[in-house]
Amino acid sequence: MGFFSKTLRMPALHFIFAGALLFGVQQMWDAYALKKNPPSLEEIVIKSDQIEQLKRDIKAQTGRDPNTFQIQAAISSAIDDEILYRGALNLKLDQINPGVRHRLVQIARFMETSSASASEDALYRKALDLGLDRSDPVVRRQLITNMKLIVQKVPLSQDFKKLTKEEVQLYYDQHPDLFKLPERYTLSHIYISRDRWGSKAEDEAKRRLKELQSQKIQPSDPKAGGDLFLRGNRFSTATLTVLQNFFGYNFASQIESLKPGEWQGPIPSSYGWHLVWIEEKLDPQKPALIQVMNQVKGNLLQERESLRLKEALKELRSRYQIRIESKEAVLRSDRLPHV
Amino acid sequence: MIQAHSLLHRLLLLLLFSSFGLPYLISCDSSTYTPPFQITEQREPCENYQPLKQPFFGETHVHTSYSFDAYVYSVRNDPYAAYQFAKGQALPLPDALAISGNPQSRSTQISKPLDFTAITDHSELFGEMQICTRSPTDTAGYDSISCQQMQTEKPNPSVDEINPTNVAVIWAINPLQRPAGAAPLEFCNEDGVDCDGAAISMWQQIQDAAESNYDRSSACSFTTFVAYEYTAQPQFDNLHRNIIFRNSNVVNSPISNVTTDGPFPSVLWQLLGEQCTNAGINCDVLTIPHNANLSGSTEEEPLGRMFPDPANAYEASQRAAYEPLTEMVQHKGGSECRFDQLTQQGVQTVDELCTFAQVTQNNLNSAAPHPTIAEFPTRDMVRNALKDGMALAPQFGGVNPFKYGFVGATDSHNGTPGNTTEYNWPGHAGTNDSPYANLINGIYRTPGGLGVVWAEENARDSIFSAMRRKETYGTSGTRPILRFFGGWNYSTQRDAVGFSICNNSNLAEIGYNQGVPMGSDLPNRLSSSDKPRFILAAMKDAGSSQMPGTPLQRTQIVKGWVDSAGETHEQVYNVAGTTQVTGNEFNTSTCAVNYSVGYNELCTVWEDPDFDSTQPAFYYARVLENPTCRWSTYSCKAAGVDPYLSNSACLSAAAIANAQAVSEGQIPDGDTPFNNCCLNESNDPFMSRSIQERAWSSPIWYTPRS
Repeated sequence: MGFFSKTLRMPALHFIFAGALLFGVQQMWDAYALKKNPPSLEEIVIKSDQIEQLKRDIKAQTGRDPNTFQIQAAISSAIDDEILYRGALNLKLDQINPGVRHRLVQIARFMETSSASASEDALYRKALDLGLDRSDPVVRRQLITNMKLIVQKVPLSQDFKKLTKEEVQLYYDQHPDLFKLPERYTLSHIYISRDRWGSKAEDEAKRRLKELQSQKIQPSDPKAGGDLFLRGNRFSTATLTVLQNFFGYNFASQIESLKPGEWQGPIPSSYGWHLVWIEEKLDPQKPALIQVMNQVKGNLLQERESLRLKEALKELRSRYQIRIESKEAVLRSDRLPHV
Repeated sequence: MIQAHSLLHRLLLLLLFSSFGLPYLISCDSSTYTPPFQITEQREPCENYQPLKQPFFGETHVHTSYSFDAYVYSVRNDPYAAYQFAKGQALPLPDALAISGNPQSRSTQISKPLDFTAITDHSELFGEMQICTRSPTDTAGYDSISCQQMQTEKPNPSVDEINPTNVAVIWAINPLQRPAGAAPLEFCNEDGVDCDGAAISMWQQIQDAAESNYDRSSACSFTTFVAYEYTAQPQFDNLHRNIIFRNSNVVNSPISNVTTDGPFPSVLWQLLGEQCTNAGINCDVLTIPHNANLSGSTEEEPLGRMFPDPANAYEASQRAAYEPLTEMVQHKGGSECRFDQLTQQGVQTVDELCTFAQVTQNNLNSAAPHPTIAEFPTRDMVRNALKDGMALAPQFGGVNPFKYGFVGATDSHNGTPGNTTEYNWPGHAGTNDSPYANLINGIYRTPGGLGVVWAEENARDSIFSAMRRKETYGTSGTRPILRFFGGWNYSTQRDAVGFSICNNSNLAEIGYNQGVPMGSDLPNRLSSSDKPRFILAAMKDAGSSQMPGTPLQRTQIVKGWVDSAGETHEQVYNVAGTTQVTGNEFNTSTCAVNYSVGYNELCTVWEDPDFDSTQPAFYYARVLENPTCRWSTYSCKAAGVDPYLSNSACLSAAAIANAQAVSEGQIPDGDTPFNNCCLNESNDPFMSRSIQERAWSSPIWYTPRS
């Protein structure tokens, strides 16, 4: 393998090629997207026999009659498909997509009986003359998927390149809960085992508490004693979730109210009773951006991608007059779910 | 050409410096931090560092929408989503009747977050999956028949029959299934189609997802590993391995079954050595075989294909070096040991608890005949392989080729690591096993287990080092705590309530100082009269907000050894708790757990009464919880079929449930999935209506001094 072909195989380059390809389309997209709403809205009609067909499709696929939600979802998705398809035609994607071209040449060649040697270009022109780009379902599907990707990815890949320090900082600032460290506890505990003490466990725990308090025994003092707790007796900077995982649900819920710097309790757990000394309670903290940079970037990009598709489809829908021919009012709703 | 070349380079450099210049190069403060493991990456030291180690619960085997046999079942959770799931976020799953990913109307959430996760998608088809499911439609190959199969879930895209399983089978033939040689899908050979390049793109995504979900801050809240699955399955014999990298330095492209040109693990280790461990790029890696129970056998490898006799000492040492661990249990069954409760026969065992999680077949072909106990390849059960490994060692320069420690895993194909709870298990692969297919084809299968490591801190170097030294245990899905130490001089002194060590807060310190932890070799004996002693301490799962932890029933030590004639033996010792089953452990009507029966903790010091210093031996701990309702019992009861009814009453209820599902159009006429609800301990070799969740420590080995 030569160096050049090796270079071609580098993932970063794939990204560039995809980006460059998309960039060309981007300019067309911008022109399309920035166009003012035309004076009269184009109409998309979902006819009643189309709805019946959707119902039959669902039944054929699932083996049972569809419920209202399924029909609504199918109608909504048919509308989205039609919008994406028309958008693709508007962008002339049917003329620049090599996959579509390949498919059209294939069909035209299949139909060509006289001259098997017709050139690809000739076959392609013939297919266009016959309007195959508008009628073939595979081409339609290819165009819909292509358009979806453009809607979803083109602005995103631009954003990705433009992922500036400021944007990352802004996202980080606007989502403090996503990255903040929850409150954490460093604590020691003395364990009184229910297996060992049975019904006397709570009394024993209370007795031990008095002893610890009166003798001023510190957590680090070997005299602190208690039964063996396999997870350990000291936990450093543990969140409430972690404490819940270690001790059980009830234990963690009682920790919040404890005063630091002294023995408190007894507190019940899944195992028995505990006398707890909170060494330190750390309030919720915001880590420095630099510590969570990759998480922030990842979240930002993911959010953009999913928002982008939703918004674009919503926006595109508003350019059309949508009419659903159905006797059922619930299906005529203009609040169909986006799926 | 030259110009294009340098232009590409400039573009590449620009890209690298503009958006990938990673800003978080924070140096370690080594003055306060000298861990026993090698630090191979830059990150903040963990605030919560425990020299005596802490148990971290994780997943070493999970698939996402990047795997062909997940995507084709309408699973759309990618590696990013899978990591979010492990951290506690709910994920969507496809409706039981979804097609091409729609609708995603179910939801699932882990009961407790995990500490670490390795995502292991099938590497053989990375390129094809990237082109067919993650590329622009004008990408060369996108409209190939193979891609259309994946996109439409139809084996023949021009015909309206949806059959994702057939698509998966067709896709597997060339890259996974051949007895020798392996090839990508045919469309990869077409002009302009670049499957190799696309595979690298997908591999990069996997690395990016791992990086952005790895907590490199001092909070150390979650660890990810860059990983993939090596998917060799010659003629359905399962030789799969999960390949887990220590840090972000990994191979440029996964070494897959296609790379090794067929099912040759020794070539895999060789190439991992050349491209990772010995490549001078600060790369380290280990491989974890899974489902020995499905690895079949051949004339050349009659005892089983996962653990065949090594070809030579070099191969034995390669295996020992690269493969410290194996999976004891996962979705496709348990591999510890095998026992048929109807005939009361086992595969080299009389241990009745070896009915656990047994599936009927011995390879990945569900249509293949089911081997009897007598026909079952002995080494396809790990306990037997471990015994044989000690017996084989003298032939291979003293190298024990099968010196495995243990983990459990799920092998989920839903992108849901660690989703192991029985009461709300949503199946393991999208539309493949929901809602009733589980009962039809998958009644013997399980939600799978978890891997647990004893490590100093929740970070890659610490956890990877623990895996390498086998300081790990596997569970069947719950989260009991298990410590297991071996030595010669642990005190057997008792006080009023039991062994003094067991009530000593310094148990772990004593365990390490006077002996070795799980996964190790016993130290040398000081006196010829010494017998090995073991500290086995277990604490029950603390439970979750939905379900408190189940009490423990007992702990056991499983010993395997080789006698002077080279014959292998085993013995299971009950060492703490009770063997008495009261029948009150849970309510068979409601499945409610009785928390007043059983133990919160069990601890003992045990000395091997039958020790013979001339015989090599291993010892591993097994912790058993009280029985609770199995997932199938929950599913059946929810449909009105109670497996605890008499068999005739159960079958009557099943007939009604079958008829109802048919009338609702949910299953074809003639299907009887609910009849499987009436399989039980007295009419099926392996089925149990309850599950006794359990944990297995990695063994501790004794080798006589020659």
